[in-house]
Amino acid sequence: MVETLFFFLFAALAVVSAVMVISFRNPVHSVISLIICFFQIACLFLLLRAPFIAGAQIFVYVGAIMIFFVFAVFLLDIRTSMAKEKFSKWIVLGVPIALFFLIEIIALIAGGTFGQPSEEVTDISKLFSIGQNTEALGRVLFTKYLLPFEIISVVLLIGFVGAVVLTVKPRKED
Amino acid sequence: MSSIPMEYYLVLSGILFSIGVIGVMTRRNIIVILMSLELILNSVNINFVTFSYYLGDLTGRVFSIFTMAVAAAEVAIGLAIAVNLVRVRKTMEIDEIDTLKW
Repeated sequence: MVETLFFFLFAALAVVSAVMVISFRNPVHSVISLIICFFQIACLFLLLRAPFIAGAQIFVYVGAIMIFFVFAVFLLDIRTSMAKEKFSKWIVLGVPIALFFLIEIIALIAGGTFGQPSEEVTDISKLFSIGQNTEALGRVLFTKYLLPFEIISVVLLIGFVGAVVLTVKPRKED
Repeated sequence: MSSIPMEYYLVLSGILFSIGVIGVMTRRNIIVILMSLELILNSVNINFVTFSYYLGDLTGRVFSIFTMAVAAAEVAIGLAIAVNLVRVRKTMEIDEIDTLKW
């Protein structure tokens, strides 16, 4: 019961801050709202018994990605970043399409069935206890999904190299 | 197991996804559009972790880690492009950025 209460608290805060992200005129305010939203989602991961994912959410999203955004907003002139009109003229088309998506998703969830726990896992409560959680995740990550893990690290490396190449100004030849 | 039905998490994820879609389709500021993309990726992460928990399978968590890595790479490149774009074009509004060559 307490868990349900906390779920609704985190969910409501996440939705409200997500709406604030897309409705603020100043990008700095949007960044702050998105940080709040990411913290709420990390709390939801804790409710889902995924402490490692929650920690990674805070470290990666709040610690790295949002700092990228803060620096990008600060590097650019704030006056150019404040648009004259907040929304484009496509708002009359975009909002109904997104609401249609939402109704469709909710209809699918309400009418669907979602399968049963897989046969491999015998003792779910043991797997999801706090102490063994990260260990189990590491075992799966470094055995079954070792190749995707290596590929994703190369993708990340190429991404950051690309970002550096894009932003470094070419040195003038004397 | 938790007392919260699985559908609650899925509906929350759908709501966040739709808010992100609205942001991508209606905002003009390129930085806010990138932030809405992050929101969409996060709602997918919620789905992954929810199914991982309720089906007792760790695959969903592994893939949510992959999603985070892809999001980090995407935002690094996206913001680099955005910063260059604003330097060259002196505007952040995507409605005015409609030519490939300048």
